Amino acid sequence: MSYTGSWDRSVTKFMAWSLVYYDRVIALDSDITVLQSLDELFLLPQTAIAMPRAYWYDTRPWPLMSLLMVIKPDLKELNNFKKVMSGGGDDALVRTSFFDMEMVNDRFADSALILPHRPYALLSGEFRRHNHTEYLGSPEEKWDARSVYNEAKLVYFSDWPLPKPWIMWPHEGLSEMQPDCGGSHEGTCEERVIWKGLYEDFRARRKDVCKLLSVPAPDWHGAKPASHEVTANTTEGTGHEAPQVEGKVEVERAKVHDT
Amino acid sequence: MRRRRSDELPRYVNPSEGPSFRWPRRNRLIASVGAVFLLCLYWSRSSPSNGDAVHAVNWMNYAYSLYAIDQATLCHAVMVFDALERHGSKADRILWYPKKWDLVVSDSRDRNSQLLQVALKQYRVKLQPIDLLMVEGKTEGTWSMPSCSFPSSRLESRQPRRWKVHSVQAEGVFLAGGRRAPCFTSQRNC
Repeated sequence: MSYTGSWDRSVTKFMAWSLVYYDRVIALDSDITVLQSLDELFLLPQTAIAMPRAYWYDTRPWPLMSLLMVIKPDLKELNNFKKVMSGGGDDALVRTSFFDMEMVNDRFADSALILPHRPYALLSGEFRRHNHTEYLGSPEEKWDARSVYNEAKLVYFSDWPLPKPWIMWPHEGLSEMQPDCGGSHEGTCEERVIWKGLYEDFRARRKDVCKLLSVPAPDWHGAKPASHEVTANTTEGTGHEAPQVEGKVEVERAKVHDT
Repeated sequence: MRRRRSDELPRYVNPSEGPSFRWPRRNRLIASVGAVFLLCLYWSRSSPSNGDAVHAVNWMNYAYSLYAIDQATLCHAVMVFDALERHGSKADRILWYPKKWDLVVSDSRDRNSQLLQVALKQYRVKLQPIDLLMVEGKTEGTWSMPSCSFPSSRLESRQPRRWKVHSVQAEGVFLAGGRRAPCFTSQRNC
């Protein structure tokens, strides 16, 4: 039951290929913060798909990251995905919630146009890293957290095993996982300010736009939990009921557009 | 070419003996302005401008596609639409959501319907209700049936099977023969 969300999420993404009325579609995950418009991506050279790479992976080549896909809608592609899915999925793989990423990489790894992860796929965890060469793209360039944040267009939240931003931080987990400011766990630094700010901003907008509060923090099992499966659901899932802010979410009259 | 004889060359004419016809000053002025205008038009059309490509874009040819499978993903999708709006994005916006959700706000706690209304009216999102595609694991010898976060009417039985797929029903997706606008749920009169 607890993995239904990840299955549903994975395969619903493919509906973007059905939008053949449009010349181009940008399919997005929603566990992200959009910092700037991405409209210029619609004007890329002709290609079946453009995606950034998951630059934080240990293995090379980095796989394509399905959180941001610039696609040419195509019913043949959708039908191909459906055929693959009708073969079912390997049980273990389907449970990992990366099933759609696996499928897209199988299909497009060799032919995709690669979007630069800088600035289109900045990982929130980048601010916890010590070596930023892979994000910056050069060992010579000096890391400047504030500049990196200012140029970024899209931030993807991933600081596992800390939970996603709609779930509160377990207190012990935060002190263990937050940016360590060059090894000193006291004091502060730009990395920590920005990283915390990303989470605070997400929570504030969740409250403002949706009138929803954060889901209570899960139990913390430490940075190396005994079982990934135990924590994956509590830190990644969206099925948990969130407390609501009093009142209704209402259309702001001043901003109504006639449809 | 034969050289001209001197008596064939044009001669300077005493201005007082010049042609009797002269353009009135007003007509000369109009002709000058007209010539300058035509020159400007020619220059503006022939000089390349990077701004041309951007100004000529028809943003109705492009769309962002997001999906919601539960209240949290619905909220987060609306937050993305809010961000796109604030950052001046001009392309269309699509939201896929479970068919069983409605847009009727039943009470002050009915967040799903409230958020769908906000998406539709405030962020100009085109709403697309769907039955979900579902995938089951097919590891040999095991049977894993995902329990739905919401029931699908096409689920015929819960007998164990190797795998089963529900086909997608996406209402209102219009195949582009010409360029007619798609009939989304939000636009009953299209």
